[in-house]
Amino acid sequence: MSGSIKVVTDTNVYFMFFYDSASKAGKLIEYAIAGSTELFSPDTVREELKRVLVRELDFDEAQSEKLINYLPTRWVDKEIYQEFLTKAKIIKHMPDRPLMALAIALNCGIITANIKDFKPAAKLVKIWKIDELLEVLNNLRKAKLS
Amino acid sequence: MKTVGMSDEVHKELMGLKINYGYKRTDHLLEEMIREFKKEKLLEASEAIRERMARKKMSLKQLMERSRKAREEIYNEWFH
Repeated sequence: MSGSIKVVTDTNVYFMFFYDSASKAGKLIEYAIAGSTELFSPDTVREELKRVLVRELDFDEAQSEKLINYLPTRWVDKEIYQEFLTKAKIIKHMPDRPLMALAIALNCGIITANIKDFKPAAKLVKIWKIDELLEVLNNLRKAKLS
Repeated sequence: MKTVGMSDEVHKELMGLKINYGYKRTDHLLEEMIREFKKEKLLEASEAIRERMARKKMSLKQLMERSRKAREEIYNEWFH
């Protein structure tokens, strides 16, 4: 996957895809399956997805694990990013900090629907707007084909 | 390079696809099959989740709000 764009992906992007697979989030997932981008998420995002699927939508643990495992995502344990949580304090909302810490650890950007809360993070990492990321990925795809 | 065992019938089907669809290498055909398999599984997941949301009359906005609450809980449990 060398040469692909790494991006830390927030839970809301996955839910937008699940809700509408033809959405922009769905396009991003397609690029990830094709290997044009690599999606990374902290283990907290995986746990968040699991709790919502189990508690709110009544999936059992095994079903929720199965659905989550279909995502083309590399899940990262907190041991990898927790040393960057101090730097992640630039984000006021503490529960968002694992995403920020992981982006710092991997030296890559973040894709989230919650641009407002992540705005201060732009001093340290790229905060992608989905249209912008899709345009870059589309241009890379065109360049590869030509 | 690795080898994978398969029945004569599956091998015949695979070679048929390779020839009929003009793939130069079986590897490329398998890569596309893997991508399509993954897409299909994700579409199944999306359908299952949408169906549950409809059954529970839950909007995407509500789901995301619950997700934010779960995030706070996880942070408090794991990092405090």
